[in-house]
Amino acid sequence: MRLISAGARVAGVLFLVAIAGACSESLDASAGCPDLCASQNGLIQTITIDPVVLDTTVSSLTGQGTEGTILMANRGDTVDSRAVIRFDSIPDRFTPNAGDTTTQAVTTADSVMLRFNIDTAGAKLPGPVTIDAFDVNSDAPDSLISAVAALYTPANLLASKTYDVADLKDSVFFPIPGSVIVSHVGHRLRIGLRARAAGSVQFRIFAVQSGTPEQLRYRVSSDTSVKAIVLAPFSQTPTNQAQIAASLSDYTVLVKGTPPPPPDLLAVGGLPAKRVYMRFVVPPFVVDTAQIVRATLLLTQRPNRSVDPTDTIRIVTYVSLAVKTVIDVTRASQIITIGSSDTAKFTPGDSGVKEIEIPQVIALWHSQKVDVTPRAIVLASTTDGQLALEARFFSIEADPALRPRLRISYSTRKSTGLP
Amino acid sequence: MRIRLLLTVTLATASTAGAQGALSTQGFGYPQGEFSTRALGTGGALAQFDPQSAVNPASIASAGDPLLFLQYEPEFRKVTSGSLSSSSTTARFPMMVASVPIGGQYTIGFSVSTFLDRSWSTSTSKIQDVAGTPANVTENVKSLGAVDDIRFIGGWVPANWIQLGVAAHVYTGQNRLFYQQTFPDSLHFVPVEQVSNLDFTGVAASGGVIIHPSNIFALALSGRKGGNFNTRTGDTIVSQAKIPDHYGAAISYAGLIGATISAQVGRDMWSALNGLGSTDARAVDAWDYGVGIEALGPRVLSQNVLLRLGGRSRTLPFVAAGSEVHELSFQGGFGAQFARNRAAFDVTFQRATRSTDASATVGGVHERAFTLSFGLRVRP
Repeated sequence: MRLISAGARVAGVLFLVAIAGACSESLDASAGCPDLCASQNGLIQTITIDPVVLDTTVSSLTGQGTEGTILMANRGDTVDSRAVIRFDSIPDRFTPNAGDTTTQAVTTADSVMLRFNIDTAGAKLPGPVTIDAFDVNSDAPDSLISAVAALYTPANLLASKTYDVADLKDSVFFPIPGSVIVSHVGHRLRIGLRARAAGSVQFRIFAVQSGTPEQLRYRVSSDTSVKAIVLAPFSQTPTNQAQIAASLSDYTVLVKGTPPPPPDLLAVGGLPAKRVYMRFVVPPFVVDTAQIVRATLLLTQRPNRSVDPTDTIRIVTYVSLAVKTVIDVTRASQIITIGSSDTAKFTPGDSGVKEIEIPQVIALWHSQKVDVTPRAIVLASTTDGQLALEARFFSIEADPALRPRLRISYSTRKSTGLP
Repeated sequence: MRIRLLLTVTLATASTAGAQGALSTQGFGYPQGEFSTRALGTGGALAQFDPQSAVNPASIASAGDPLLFLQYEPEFRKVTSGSLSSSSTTARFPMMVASVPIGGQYTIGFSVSTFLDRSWSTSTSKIQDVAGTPANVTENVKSLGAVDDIRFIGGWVPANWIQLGVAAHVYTGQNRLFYQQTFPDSLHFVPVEQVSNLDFTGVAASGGVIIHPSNIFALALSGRKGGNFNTRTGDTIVSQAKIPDHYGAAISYAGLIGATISAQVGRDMWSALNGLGSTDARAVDAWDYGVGIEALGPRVLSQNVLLRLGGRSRTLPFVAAGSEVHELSFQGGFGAQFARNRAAFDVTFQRATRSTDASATVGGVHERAFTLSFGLRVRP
């Protein structure tokens, strides 16, 4: 009896284990495939269409000073780009020690150092590079680049320093005479930077917008217990627009940009920055019913050998969210959202048919009402306004074989569930 | 805008959902037989006499007391093709029966049982050319759902030697088919995902008789006449066919002390389902044979235990790659009453092998399954 009782318990436990094990279904029967799965494969069909009804090159118009890096370039006949860093409030008094209730006037300054961080991606450093700093203080309108550029003169030269190529990386320290600070106390100091070298030179410095701003540091006392003064870029103009003033705390001065593209070509990148706006009319089934597997924008590239033709420019695709009432395509190219998590790489000097994958764009279009929001994409460089690289493509004005096209691969499987 | 160029179709296949993978789940699925745990333990041989099985409506007339029966039946299946194999676990609740006697001669009842279970999934990968790029495409297909048989039963015992019964059947249920194509390169490709819902509606009527010519012999006959059977997607009828007719007979001999030997034969006219699905889902008429014994076993915990053994051979309704699928199974089990005999618990173990006539044509695919069946009967 005791034995039977123990057996019953064991059986009970086994039952519970079996029941519990069967509660989680696992239905896989893949071993029978393909013999028993002859009809499971889906149909993928590919079509190529000409859906672009409007394409044009527009200015990136990202706003002066909104760039993440400032291009320092001196490319001879092609590109001349410089930097302005504003310190619009040089303190005229300082507190010697923490807790002091009295302040002292700044009468001296030494160990003045302008620090900035270098981005060497895309840099051209042919040899030792000299950086000149100029006093570019001006009451000219902030947007008047030519007026600022005119201040880069020997008369306004504050300091110069030559760096070896190996030293132009990470943080760069640029010494400035103490007299420059002393002469600007209580006023504003606007420093213009220009690079020059024996050959074509180009690099970028991280701007305030990047989160790693430039820094002006100096000592106002020989007493080392007195903390050094550290200033970040700051602009007081325009006085009534704080956000724009913040952008203008440092910005690019583009003295000479890349040559404009021929009017029948589309251009992405360059200086000033350009992007491409393309509006589409696609068959309704592509957006509304077809299950898109792959969508590829086919562009025929025309070589642009003006600046760095063998370098790589990365182009990102945005979807324009501008509604029909926004008739200015330049404005419409600013009202955008990311349309692809991938970036397409191009070599400016290359040619031929190039592909940009945009499957997510179709999904976004599916959620848009076409009678409210025109289906449009914007192609822009990931280094918009920060590098001179420019890729050019044929537009819908070109020969039919060269025009932009859209290649769509979609599943035609329409299952009712019947075996 | 101009549609200028139509490129080639990269892959040409049908769009029906015939990706079952297993021999037993071809077409609209696997018929469990609508046997109770007890009847299954005897290879189905007792099903014609068993009020907990949804085979012969006359059997309900012998229930005697109010009855509520529930069944749980997981199946552990292994499909083998050459060196490849895949194992699956399917949890099924294939049977529920409730009946109430009215007066001394009548019984009415209600049952819900699984008619065809279509639960499976497959996952396959292959290289496909998509717009000029070879892509490693993984296709995942999963089907869930079943066709259920809802019976409204009436039983009558006009005399001690005969039981009669009729039933009206409503067939209903749903198949949900999940189809997914995925690509490892998620930047360039978007996965395809589709869900198809297929609803079933059908009717049938059945009748049966159980005759006791002596105290030791019993004979049962039953038949079901199928009516219209439709599949729908939303409000649209997708296809139409008939519920298969069914004929069955069984004999039982209780001349041995404490034991009953039974045998049954059934004929299912599954071909009536042809046209409901694609031509790949071809159904064939099938025989179903079973023989088994139920005997009084040892007393455990002061309760009598019934032991059961059985064997069953049948042809499954849907062909696999054009070949008929045969199932040979052996069963064993036990049952006991408890709670002052107001409840009974039955357990059956079934080992089944499934194969085709022409295994070479389907790549040598064969299938083995181990089924556990648990039945709980309560007399409220």
